[in-house]
Amino acid sequence: MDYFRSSLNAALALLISGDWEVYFIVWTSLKISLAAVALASVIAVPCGVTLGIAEFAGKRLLRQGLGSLMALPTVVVGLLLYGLLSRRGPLGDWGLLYTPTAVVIGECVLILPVMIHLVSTAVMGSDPRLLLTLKSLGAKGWRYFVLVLSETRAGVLAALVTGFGRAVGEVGIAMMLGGNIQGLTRTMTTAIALETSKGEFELGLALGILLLTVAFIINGLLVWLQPEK
Amino acid sequence: MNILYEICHLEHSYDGQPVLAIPKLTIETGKITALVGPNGAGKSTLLRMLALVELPDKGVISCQGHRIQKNPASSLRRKIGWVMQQPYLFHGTALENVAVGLKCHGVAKGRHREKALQALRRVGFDASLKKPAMDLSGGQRQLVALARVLALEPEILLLDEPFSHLDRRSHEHLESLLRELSQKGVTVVVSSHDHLRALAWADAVVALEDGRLAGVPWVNILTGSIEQQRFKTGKIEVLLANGQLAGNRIAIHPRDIVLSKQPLQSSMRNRFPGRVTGLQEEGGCVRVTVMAGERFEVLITQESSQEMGLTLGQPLWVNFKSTSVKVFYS
Repeated sequence: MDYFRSSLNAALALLISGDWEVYFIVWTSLKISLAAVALASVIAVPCGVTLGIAEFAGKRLLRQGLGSLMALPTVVVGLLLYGLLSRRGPLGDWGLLYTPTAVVIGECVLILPVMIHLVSTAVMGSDPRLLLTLKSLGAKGWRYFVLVLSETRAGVLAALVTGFGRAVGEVGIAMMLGGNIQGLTRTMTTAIALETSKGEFELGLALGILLLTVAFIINGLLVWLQPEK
Repeated sequence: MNILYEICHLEHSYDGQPVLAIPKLTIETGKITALVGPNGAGKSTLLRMLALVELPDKGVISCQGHRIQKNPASSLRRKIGWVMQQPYLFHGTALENVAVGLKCHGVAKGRHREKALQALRRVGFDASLKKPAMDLSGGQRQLVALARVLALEPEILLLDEPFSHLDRRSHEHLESLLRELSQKGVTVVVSSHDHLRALAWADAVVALEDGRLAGVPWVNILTGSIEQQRFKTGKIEVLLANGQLAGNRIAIHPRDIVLSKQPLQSSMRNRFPGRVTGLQEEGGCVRVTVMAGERFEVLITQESSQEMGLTLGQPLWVNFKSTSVKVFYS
């Protein structure tokens, strides 16, 4: 119990210490994860809504595939993108490896199928009268899309929250594409991995508690944004 | 007769279970047509097809001479206003809900509030305009959905059980509104399980039973057996016309029954003494309930009711021709 108590104390001490490095790590984690969610949303929301609405052969198989990608190991994504972004890779000239941008791209790739799957599930699970009503009111194109999105926003928001949770909590991509560079790409998860490897378990756990606290606050903010009716 | 909808050899099923089988049906332009029948008769399915949101498995539905295909022309769709029995309301207030329809039809934003308010007033919506639509009662929700459709000024109005959640005052207001619309040329198709009220109020009644057109009105249904050209219910014996020899139920149209204070010396062979047990205004007519061995529902005009001076408990004779009796199996 002492171990957990001292970790908790260490976490609180870290939070109120005013340690610039700790705050920078938290900020880097948030910045990268939120950027990945924002980037993924631009693709996942329209694709998810379209997938939810459209009827075509192979839809079930496609959704099954997207669902399976929810279990995609982060290191596999990291490895694939490492191959693309490394100096000898096809995109090596872009010089993105070991930058926050590379981590954003990697996390975006990781959460994209999850978010598309969840958004399409939200649309498909919406009240069946919604699409019939829109159809009968003559809604088309952009208007149709916006109305479906507006009416299923609780499910869409849940997809964003899940995407954020997966992004902020992953370590494989941040380590492989970011390189855990202090002051640049060190995130909370890579910092935890580092401190643990150094035997600084208490500091690692303290950062873990900090990570959960940040996730809790972000989730709270997203839920707060969701109107009840 | 100006035909709006024409249905030929329509067949439809859900999960292999037939839900509609209509060989031929026409619906006239500018009239009020009531689709009546018990729950599960296929009324809502038929309305969905008329609303162009569902296609039949087999058969043809034509609207204004155009065969309805998978992707009907949006110009045709825009002429149709459809309200479900339990309508879907969008997040937001009643006013915002009506505005959604206007947005979909490309009405200028500046006119949304004025048109939405007008439509809500027209249907008699009297709840708070600021209240979230989700908090409205069933009847108020139906009125909002109706206002949402009326604001679009449809030529064809399809309403699925529009009276089911309404109180008497709103019910009467809606009936007169639909009549007014019909007089202005709007075709109104309403589904209802209240056969008698539909018979009194609508211009045409289509009775459905198990997805098929029912040849008889679902009013004054008596159960029994036939013996020697008589239908015996256990309480009364109804004389049948020649040739009506098979069936376990009979139906008598409420407009085919004549009420009299004395037994009539006429060609009507069925005459039963009884007493008035109910009097009710029904869609511009008077619905008289008479217990004459069996319970009979009769529709008469308000003038006839006044002339006869009908009161509850008054002794009366129920008279009808044997040819007015429809015999069937059910």
